[in-house]
Amino acid sequence: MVPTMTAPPTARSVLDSDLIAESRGRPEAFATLFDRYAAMLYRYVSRRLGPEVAEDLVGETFLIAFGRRDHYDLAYPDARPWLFGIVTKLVSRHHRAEAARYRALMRNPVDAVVEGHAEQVASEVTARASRSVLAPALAGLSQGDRDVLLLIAWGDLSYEEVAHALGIPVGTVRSRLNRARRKVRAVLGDTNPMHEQEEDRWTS
Amino acid sequence: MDELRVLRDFGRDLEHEPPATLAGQRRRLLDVIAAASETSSDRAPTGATHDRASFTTGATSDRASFTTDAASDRASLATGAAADRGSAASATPATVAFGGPGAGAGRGRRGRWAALARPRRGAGWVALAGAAAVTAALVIVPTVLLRGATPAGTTVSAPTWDRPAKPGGGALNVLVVGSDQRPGPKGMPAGSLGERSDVMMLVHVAADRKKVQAISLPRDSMVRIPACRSRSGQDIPARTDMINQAFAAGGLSCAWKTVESTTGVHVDHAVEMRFSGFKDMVDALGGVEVTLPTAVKDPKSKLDLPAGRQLLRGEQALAYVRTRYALGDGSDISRIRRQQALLRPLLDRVLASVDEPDKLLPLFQAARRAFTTDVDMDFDTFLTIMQGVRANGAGSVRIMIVPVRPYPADRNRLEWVQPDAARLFAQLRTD
Repeated sequence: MVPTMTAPPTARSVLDSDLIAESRGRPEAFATLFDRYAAMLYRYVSRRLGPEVAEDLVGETFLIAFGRRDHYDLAYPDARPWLFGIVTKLVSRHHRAEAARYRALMRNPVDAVVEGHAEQVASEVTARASRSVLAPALAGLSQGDRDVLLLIAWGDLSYEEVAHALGIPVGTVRSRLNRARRKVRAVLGDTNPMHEQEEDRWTS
Repeated sequence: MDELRVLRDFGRDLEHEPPATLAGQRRRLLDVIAAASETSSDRAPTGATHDRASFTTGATSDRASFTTDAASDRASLATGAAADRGSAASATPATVAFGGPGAGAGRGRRGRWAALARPRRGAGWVALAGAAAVTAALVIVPTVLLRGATPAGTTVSAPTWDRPAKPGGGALNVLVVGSDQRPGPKGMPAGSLGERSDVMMLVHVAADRKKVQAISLPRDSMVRIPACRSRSGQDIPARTDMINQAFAAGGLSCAWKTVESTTGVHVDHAVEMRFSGFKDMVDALGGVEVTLPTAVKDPKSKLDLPAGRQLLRGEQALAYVRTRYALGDGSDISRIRRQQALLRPLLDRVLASVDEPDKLLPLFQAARRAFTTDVDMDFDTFLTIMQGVRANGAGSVRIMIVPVRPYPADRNRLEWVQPDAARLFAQLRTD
C-alpha cells in the first residue's frame, strides 16, 4: 500500500488506461504515468513557455491528472491526449507570457554562437530565419488556433487526439488548424527559410 | 512548402531537455499519492478526494469543550472586540532584520489581556524575548490560543505504540509539524491534492526548564518509518522513506511514532500547524514585517517583493516561507532558516495582539483552524515552559538542524550523519 520511491519501470505492454484503472484502487500505480510522460510533457512546455515554468507546470499537470483519474475514459488506451489536454489548460494561463516569449525571440532571434562547419552554419542561419519569422506568427495566433497547431506540430497528436484533448469536435480541429497554417504560411510567404536566405520582412 | 515541417524544426530549436530536478515534481506527486493511498479502500468510486474534509471542518462549532473561564474569556473578548474595533489600527508590526538580532517588539505589553484572561498569571508569558520567540511561537501559539479548547476533528489520540521510556527528571519533548495542503488547481476543492509536512521540529525543554533546544528535521531526510495506521484505520507497513512521508501517510500520530523510533527520544506532545491557517493568522494579526536585503521574485510561489522593509500579508508571508528557489541556495535548509526568521516577528505580533481585542478574536478563530494537538497538551504545561524560557532570557534557546548530508542513493535527499545525530538525540534523553 506504500509507494516506493524507486518503482521499477513497468513494462510498456501495460496500457496507460490499465494503469489508470489500477490507480483507482492502488494510487501508487499512477507514478508510472509520470515516468512515461513527464519528460515528453516537459519538452513540450519548454517549447511553449521556456524551461523556467515547465518544471512546475508538469508537476501540476500530474497532480491534476491524479485527482481526476476516476473521470478518465478507459476506452482510450493512450493517456497522452488526456495529459496534453491538462497541459494545454495550464499553458493557457500563461498565454500572455507565451506571446511575449515569441516576440522576444523575434527581437533577439539567435543566442547561439555561429561557428564550425559550413553545414552547421547553414542550419544555424536557417534557424535564425525561421525564428524571426515564425515566432511573431505564433504570437499573433488566437489561443485556440495556437493550441491546435502546436499539439499537432509539437505534440505529435492526431486530429482525433487533439479533439479529445481539447474536448472539441474534430471538425473544429480541422478548421482551426487550417486557419493557423494559413497564417503561418502567409508570413513565410513563398520563401521557405529551409532553402533560402532570410527575407527580412518582419523588420521592415 | 510545408509550414508544419518548418514549425517542427523551430520547436526543436526551442526545446529544453528535462533537468534532474524534475524528480522533485515526481516526489510531489508521490506525496499526494501516499496521502491518497490511506483512503483508497473507502474512496467513493466517483473519486472526489475529499478525505481531508473531516480533518479541517468542524473546528468552529465545538464550544462545549471550552473550560468555563475560557468561555467567559471569549465572551468578554467578543464584546471587547466590538467596542474596540479600529482602535488598534495603528499598531506597529515587529521587524526582523536578516542576520541581525531579533527585535523584541511587543515585549512587556500588558493591559487588557491580563484582565481578560487569567489574572492570576498576569502577562507572564508576554515578556519573551529574542531567540526564545522562535521556539516559543511554535509552542506557545497553539497552547495559549487554544487553551483546552480542542474542537472535534482537530485532535490526535494519545500514542498506543511501544515508546521510548520517559526519562525521569521532567524534561519535556514536543514534536511540531508544519503541514501544507497544496492549493487545489482550478476547479478542484482546496486540499484535494493531499497534505504534506514541510516543517518538522523537535522541541526539547530541559528538566530544569533553563534550556530549550529546537531541532529541525528536514523533510527530505531518509529514515526508517515504522508500521503505522492511517487515519482511516488501514495498516501501513514499515519502510525507508523521506520523513515527511510518515505524516503524509499516517498523519500526526505516524509522524510522532516515526520521530520517537528514529531518534529514541520520548516525545511528550505533538502539535500540527497548518500553513493555510498560518496565512489566516498573519492576516488576523495585520501582517508581519520583514526586511529583505534584495528584491525577491519567484513565479513558483507567486512572490514578487521589493528590497527593504515591508509588511507582508498572510499570503505573501506564506509564499515567503514556502519558496525554495528565489532565496537562499534553493535547499530545504535555507527555507527552514527563513521560516524560523519569520516566526520571530510573528510571535511578537501575537504577543502584541493581546492588547488588541479586534485582532485577537480573528486570531483565535484562525488558530483554531490551524492547529491539531494531542489531547494531553494543556495550557498549564506550556505556561510552565514559557515561564522557564522567560526567566532565562533569549540565550536559553538553541535552534539546530539535525546533522545531514546528501543521501547516497539519491542526492536530492538527505540522510542524518551518524553518530552525530544519535549523539544529539541521546543528549536529549539524558539531560
